[in-house]
Amino acid sequence: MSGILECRGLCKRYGAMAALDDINLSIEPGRVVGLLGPNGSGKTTLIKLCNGLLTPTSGELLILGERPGALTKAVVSYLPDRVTLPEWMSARQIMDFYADFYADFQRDKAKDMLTRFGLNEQMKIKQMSKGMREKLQLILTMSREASLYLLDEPIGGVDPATRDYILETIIRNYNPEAAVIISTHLIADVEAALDEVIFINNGHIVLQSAVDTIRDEHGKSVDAYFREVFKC
Amino acid sequence: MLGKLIKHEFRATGRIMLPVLGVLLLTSVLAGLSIRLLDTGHIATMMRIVAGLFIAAFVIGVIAAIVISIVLMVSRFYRNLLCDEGYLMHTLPSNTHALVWSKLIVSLCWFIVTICVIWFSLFLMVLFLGGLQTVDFSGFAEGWEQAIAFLQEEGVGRGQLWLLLLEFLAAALLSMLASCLHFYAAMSLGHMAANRKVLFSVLAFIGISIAFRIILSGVAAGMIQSGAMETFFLGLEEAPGISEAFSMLHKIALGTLLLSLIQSAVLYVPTVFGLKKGLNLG
Repeated sequence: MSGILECRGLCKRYGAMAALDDINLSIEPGRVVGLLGPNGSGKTTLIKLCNGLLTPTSGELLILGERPGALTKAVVSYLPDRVTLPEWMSARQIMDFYADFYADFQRDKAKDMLTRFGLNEQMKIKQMSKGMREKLQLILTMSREASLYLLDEPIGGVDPATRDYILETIIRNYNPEAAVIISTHLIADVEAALDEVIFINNGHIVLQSAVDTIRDEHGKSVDAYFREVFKC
Repeated sequence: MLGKLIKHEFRATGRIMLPVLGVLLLTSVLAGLSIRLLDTGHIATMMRIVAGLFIAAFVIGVIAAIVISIVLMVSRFYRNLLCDEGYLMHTLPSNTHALVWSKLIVSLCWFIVTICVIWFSLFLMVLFLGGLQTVDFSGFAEGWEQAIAFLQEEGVGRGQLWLLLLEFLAAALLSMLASCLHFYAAMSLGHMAANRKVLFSVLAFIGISIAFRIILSGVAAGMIQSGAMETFFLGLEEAPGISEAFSMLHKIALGTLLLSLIQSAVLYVPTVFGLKKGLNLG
């Protein structure tokens, strides 16, 4: 077991419906992994399981050898697919909150990113636009020196220019010893940043491969190959 | 970690509770002055209306402080742990027990502070109504000492009196804890449902209330049948002496304490289970 994230026979069921079925995977440190699949394929469920927001029905999920809990949460930096920050707080107050709970939170890094994104520390979250809130949440996530970054649709709701900037922020700011998992269906936008991809569909892993292998073996971009695999 | 959660919970709730309690104190002063003004008799109708409004504002302030402290207890648990903020809270390097206890401790603290501030606001109102000289504090102390002397004559010691007060205080605290957990357990169970989580929370609340009433009625019926109730209220029909009445109050306090403790322990289990195993954030 050398992976930062290991899943063995992982299943998550809601009644009779299997959201994830017999997932086996291993993510190594230093890799940027794209978790790719159509809507409802099980991407968010897998990420929620990694964060302890859901409990597996069966199988095992380990982060640095530990089941999701207080220990793993201290080394996992998670960006949910929605804004979850308390609206009454200001950017400065939410940084205080992160600094209080996460020993790996780098306030200087966060302040620097706030300036680059043009966000004001004193501004209340409720006064921010949706885009500003998403940026703030990304800044907080990427300002941690975590071992595993789980980014659920980090570029979903932003314009193309900001997308590039966000991807650059992710790549420039993650701890090189860490792994980054980016869940998205906007493959063309993230492809350049990825080392590895996991294709997921109907709760099953269809493919786990290095990006270069896909390009060499199939002579296609990941985006083109994804379209071929998931053709309707 | 619990300490940090409590600190942030106080920060989140204090921004609402402190202004509410501040306004309550202010209205108590205004109400006191208004009553004093009305007592003087010859004042303009407009002033009478304003004074009346200040008195009404104080009464509304007292009710509002109680209602807001309860609503805040419920809404903080719901919004912070079961809605979108739950993504942030449940991924902190903490455990579910600490999350629940931070909410419980802070809610209890606000209940106690609210009760104290209401008492203090009444005191303030009296103070501004006629000045401190109108309140005979020495009379209170004298009355207390006389009561203690009377109880000692009847065979009830000072220590016993303090113990009883402490028991009632603990019983009141545990009752508040059980009430909080009643809401928390209902919300926690209700949110395990895939849809209509609020509706299921309300149904769970009603279900829990009915279950506890049935169990309590069963226990009471059992006690009556076994004669335990008669033993409990021993001497009541025969006009109990002070000492017997004291002993009965002691039993009531301990009974309430035990009941609230059991109720809290029972409700804590589904609260934590729902958040730990059945968490299903939208």
